[in-house]
Amino acid sequence: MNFEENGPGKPDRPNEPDVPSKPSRPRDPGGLHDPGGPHDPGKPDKPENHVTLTVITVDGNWSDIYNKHDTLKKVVDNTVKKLDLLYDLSQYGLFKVGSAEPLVLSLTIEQAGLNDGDEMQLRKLNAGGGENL
Amino acid sequence: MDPEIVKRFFLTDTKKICENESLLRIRDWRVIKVEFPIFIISMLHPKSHREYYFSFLHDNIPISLQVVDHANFLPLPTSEWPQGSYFLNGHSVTGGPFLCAPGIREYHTHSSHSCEDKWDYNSQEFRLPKILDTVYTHFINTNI
Repeated sequence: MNFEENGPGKPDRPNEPDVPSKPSRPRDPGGLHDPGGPHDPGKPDKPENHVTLTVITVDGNWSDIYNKHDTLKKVVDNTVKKLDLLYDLSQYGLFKVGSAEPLVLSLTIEQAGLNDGDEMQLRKLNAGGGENL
Repeated sequence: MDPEIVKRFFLTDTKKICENESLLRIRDWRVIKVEFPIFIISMLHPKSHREYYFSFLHDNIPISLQVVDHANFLPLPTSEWPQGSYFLNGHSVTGGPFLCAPGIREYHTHSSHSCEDKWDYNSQEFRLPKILDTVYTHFINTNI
């Protein structure tokens, strides 16, 4: 078997238990690659038809600049490649944050109504279960 | 599996999750405890907004899963588990509630799956990040 690695708050809730070993979290999101956007003084502004999108996964996150006419499949493929994800993409869906419906990957970013700075998550569509039970 | 490898996986994978603020934020997850071999994370159900504590026993691969009490981290009875979406009761070995999904220890130890070779599955499916994805996908489809 090959177990190689694959890549790199909500409001406070009341009545939190006394947690003996709760880890501290850094302020910056872990694993988030930021290629630089329009507010990065070191880089030129993006063309009008370009947007920065972030794809969040359990194995890390990837932000990149895309043309609005790029398909969502290109966004997924780019993320999988950059994060070296070993995902069977037939079992995964791209979801806009807060939405339960997977995005149609053949749509362009513009057709999907995505805007600059939007976040999406790449996660399992159906995790499978014990059909034999 | 070699205990040293299991521990290395634990340290690597829990760090990956704990440091991913964006993931924790968008999924309403909260890391509660990271102490080898235990990893406890809370998930807020998107419909009921009820918070569940999922405890992962990472002392071997596959990882074992329990839903535990918020205060003392002890396993909860079936009635306190999410209902539906392969959260089942009456495991053939433990007799208790379990999530019947590939990658989770209770699936592979159940008599109904004893004829399966767990190593037919992609090895990544047994790592904590993928297990969390599996649990989350089932959890948000439960009836509660």
